[in-house]
This record gives sequence, structure tokens and C-alpha cells, in this order.
Amino acid sequence: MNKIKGVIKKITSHQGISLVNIQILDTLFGTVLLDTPKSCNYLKIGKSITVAFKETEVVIALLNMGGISMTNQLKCKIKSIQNGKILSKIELTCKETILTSFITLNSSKRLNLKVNDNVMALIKANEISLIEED
Amino acid sequence: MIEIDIQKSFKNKNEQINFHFKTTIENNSINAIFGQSGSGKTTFLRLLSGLETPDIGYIKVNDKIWFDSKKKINLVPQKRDVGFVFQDYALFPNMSVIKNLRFAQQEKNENFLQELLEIVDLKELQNKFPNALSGGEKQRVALIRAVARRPKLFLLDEAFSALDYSMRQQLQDSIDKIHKSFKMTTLFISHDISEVYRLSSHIKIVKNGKIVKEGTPDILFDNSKISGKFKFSAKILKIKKADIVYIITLLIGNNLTKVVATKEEVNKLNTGDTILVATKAFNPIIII
Repeated sequence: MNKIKGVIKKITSHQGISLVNIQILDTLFGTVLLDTPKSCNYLKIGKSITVAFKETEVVIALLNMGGISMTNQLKCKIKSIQNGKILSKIELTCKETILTSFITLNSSKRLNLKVNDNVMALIKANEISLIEED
Repeated sequence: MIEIDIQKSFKNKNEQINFHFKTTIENNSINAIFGQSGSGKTTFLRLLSGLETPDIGYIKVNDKIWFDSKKKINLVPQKRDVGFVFQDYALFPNMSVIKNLRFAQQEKNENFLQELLEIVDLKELQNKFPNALSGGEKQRVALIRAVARRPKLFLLDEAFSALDYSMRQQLQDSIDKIHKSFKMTTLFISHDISEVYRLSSHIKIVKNGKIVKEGTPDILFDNSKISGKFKFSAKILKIKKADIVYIITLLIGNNLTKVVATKEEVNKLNTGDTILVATKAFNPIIII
């Protein structure tokens, strides 16, 4: 599980669904939840929160791509690449934060990913969970 | 609501043990008492039922005082309206199932007994004697015998722990059904996280004779406050490396399932551990 600490900046709710915006490093993340400030006591502006998402949900894109719908984009540098027969484990650094992505080996080769490349890590808004940590 | 603030001290070998239980229990709730052996769980239930007497404090059940050291009130167990099930149930061997149940009722109510027999699936066996029943069946008789008087408070002291997995499941079903049907305020002691999750709406964690944490069963997990709506407690059956990831085989309720994990995650896990798996409500596809 990838975990990054952030601060809740904005909450937009409608009929039990909320879009929560969280400041992470210098990016504003968005996550869609089936909760509202009424149903969930840690949904508060200014609250520190951990965003969590699975390694297999981190998409990697080259920097020169055109527009994309994904809300959550982090500019990263590739720290390490470990290839299996099917999957490829890409470790990324974004400032001091380390993220991990599992993509297919085919994709890793197709993009010709190498250590120290600058890439974008993309995570869909509905793949992000929030964790309140003590 | 049941309001409890009781203290009891005693000497165990050379060690002085001080129990102090302070908590409230909502009417009609089903509560798990969770903790290691020796933490004081059984003593807590015995103090509630009146089998043991606190040194000081009070037990107030709605507006009725069961115990108050200042007012010198101490209701005997028979007056406390408690149903208690122990691990070693003792049915009368010379009485049939139905006679065992009738014996436990002060005010006769045959309809209620038949309803209970139906709930635990023992209607057919009501004229059998205990030695003709399996362990699980006997325990179910003990269960409904304890509620035959419609107690206000239903206490279970590890009533399941001597049973194998499928019998435990049946017994859990029975407790769940009894609770849904009659809404008796229920407290059960358990070591089993999946059992706690399955049955209880509230949990009280007991440590060194004190209730150290209480809330929903989610508090059992550090990352309990995860927003994911699709979350289950799961028991790890197997951890296997596959390519550069790991596949964990899990038991969730009765179902086998698998989840992919990283090496870093697997390093912290062992077969037999209970974990929480969570994903978001957006992800599962629905197949009809």
C-alpha cells in the first residue's frame, strides 16, 4: 500500500457522495468517497489525513503526454526498476516520498523506462482511500 | 442503558490484582469482550451477573440498582435477570431437551420455548435426551436454556471455544438470530476477531483488569479508520510468491479469496494472522 500524508482542503458533497481534495506535497489530490462530513468525523477542512492506494493502481506516464482525465498526478523520478516475468515493480520518488507502482513488464519495456527518468504517477480518484492515523 | 463502575481487588499468589471496570452498555446492543486470557474478562461477567461481588462501586440497569456499595444494595444472581452460558454447559442428563428448557423457565411460556427451538433448529430433537445430541446441539440447547426466562442481560463466557469451526459458525448464527429476534442486551467473551466482527456492534477491549478501549469492532485494527466501504476481516491461510509480488490466500467468513501484496507487506505477516482488507465501494463489479 502506498501512503502519503496530506491535509484536507475542500469537501464537496452531494447525496452521500463526496469529492475530497487533499493537499499532498505541491499537488491537490482528489478522492471520491461514499461518506460526507456528517457520516464521517474526520472529513474536516484542515484535518491531516493519510491517502492510501494500492501499488497496482498507480499508472505511469511519460511527461510529454497530452491531456488526461485523471485527477491525481504526481511528478516523480524513477528510483529503481525490478522486473519479473510478467510484472515490473517501479519505485518512484516524489520529493522525499517514495511510491511504488506495479505495471506489466510489457508496458515498462514499451515506455523504455529507466532509472532516473522523470515520469508522472497517475492515480484515479476512486482508487484512493483515506486513513485517519493517530 | 447499563452503567457500570466497579472495583475488585484480590491476591493471586503474591501479586495484588486490581480490577476496575467503568463503562456503559446500551440497551439491546450486542457487545464483544475482547482480551487475552487473564485480562479479567470472565471476572467482569461474573461481577455483572452477581456470581462475584465488587469491593466498591455500582451497577445500574436502566433505573434499577443491581449493586451499590454505598447504599449497600447487592441483588443475588437470581434477582438480576441474567442469562449466563459457560463453555462447559451442564444439561440435566435425565431430562429431555424440552424438559431442560421448561425447568429453566419460572413463568411457563411454551410458545416462546418452541420459538427458541425453531430459531436454533432443534425443534425435531426436543424429546431427545442430552446424551443423544452432538456437542454443538448440546451447546445450542444450553444457549436457549439461558434465554428461556427472557433475561434482560445475556452473557456468554467463551461459549464457543470448545467447538470446531462449523459448529462455531452454527452457534454464532444462533446467537445472531436470538439477538435479532429478542434484542436482549448481550455480552460475549471472544478471542476470535472474525467472531467479534460477525456478531458484535460494540467491542470492549479488556487489559489488566480495565476496559482500555471501546467502540465499533473497527478499533481492533490500527488503520481502522480507513474510508473503504468494502472491508472485511480475514484470516491468512497461505502466503505465496508469484512473479515479483505475493499472493495471500484469505478466509473471509466461509469464503476463500486472494489478494495481491508486496514483499514489504508480506514481511510483516504470518499464516494464521487476522488482517483487515479494504477496497472502495467503486471497485467491485456486480455479477447477477
